[in-house]
Amino acid sequence: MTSINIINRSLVIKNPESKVGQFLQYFWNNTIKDNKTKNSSTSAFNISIIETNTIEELFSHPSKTFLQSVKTIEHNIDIFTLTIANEQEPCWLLGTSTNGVSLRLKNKSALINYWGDEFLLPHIVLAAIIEALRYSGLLCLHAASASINGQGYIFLGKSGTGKTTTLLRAIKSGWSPLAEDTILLDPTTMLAYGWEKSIRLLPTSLQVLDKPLRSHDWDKNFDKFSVPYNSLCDYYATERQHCFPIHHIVQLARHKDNQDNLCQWTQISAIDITKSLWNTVGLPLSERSQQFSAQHIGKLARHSTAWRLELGNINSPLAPPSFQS
Amino acid sequence: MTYTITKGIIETDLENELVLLHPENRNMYSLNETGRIIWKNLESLGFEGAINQVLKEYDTTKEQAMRDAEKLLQELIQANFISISKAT
Repeated sequence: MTSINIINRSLVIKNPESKVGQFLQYFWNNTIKDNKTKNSSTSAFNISIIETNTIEELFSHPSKTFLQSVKTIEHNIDIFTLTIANEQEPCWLLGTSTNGVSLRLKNKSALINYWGDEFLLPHIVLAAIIEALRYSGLLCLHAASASINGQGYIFLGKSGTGKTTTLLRAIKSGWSPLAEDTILLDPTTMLAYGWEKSIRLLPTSLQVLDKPLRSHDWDKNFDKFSVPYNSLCDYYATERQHCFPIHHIVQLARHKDNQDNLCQWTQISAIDITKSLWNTVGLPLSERSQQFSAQHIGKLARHSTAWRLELGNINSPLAPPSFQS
Repeated sequence: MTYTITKGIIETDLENELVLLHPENRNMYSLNETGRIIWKNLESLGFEGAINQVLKEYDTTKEQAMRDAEKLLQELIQANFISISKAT
């Protein structure tokens, strides 16, 4: 059994030697624990991850369950909602009967069982863990983040709007990166956390980098190169951070036809940034997580400065808004 | 008439304004300060009661407040954020 601390929550992996167990230990890498969370008022939450032979072991009384609905998330993972007799929260089944995950949420704990052996299974388990973390009171954002001059920024945008290239431009300009893809935010402290080891870059994004980095033989997964933060930060003489407070939320807009050196910061309303945040967060499965997310997004929108950043197709250095003329 | 807020609508409170999120179709709708008052009081106080709450807090005429509220409610009904039924 292995336990990993994720912002004052315990992720207990009962089968650390399994493929999923090894993936989770590599993925979280113990980087997300942080002494700053000691002051957080969030109570402890335990997430147990257990390998199970078959789905039948979990539901020996199928007549007591009722299949309610199905939705599909990233990687085309199907989610089924099961109502179980005498249980307050439903049980969610992610994946399939031969390769999937069940997620049960209690007041102060979550139980995740997984079965099967397909390559996507670790990612399905990860999706369930993210749901459990949302249920515990954290906000999970699909966004990039970096800081400069003691100010933390979150960059929001749909796929293709340039989150990754904006982060690369920021790193090249001396910003400290936090995350390229996913951030966990503790709303009690307004601290954002990142734990990725590498930035995943499409070949086109790799062109943003200087030649020595561009021509390096980086690992490739699916169609993306994995460029370690350490390599990027060493080369561009900046420092990776795993945690900082958020002051600014930035809605990205990319004008691919614009060949000028466009980098225009404009302040926008709390309503506009709230809508962008919801598009980034997505809708959590449980009602409690939905209510938490609504509270946290409201707080984030009220306490941060909201910006729209319009970028052209020239990958020039990225200046923060206060440096604009 | 009885107004009923659709079950599961998620409210994000920005203090003076409110963003509504429909859990089924993910549509979002933002309410300004007076719209927020109408929304918060519509189910419990009904249309007239919600209008009176607006008049208590804002310097406007009843006719203007009713016109604005009717327009808002039409949009919210059309977007399936609320439903309307005849009072029994």
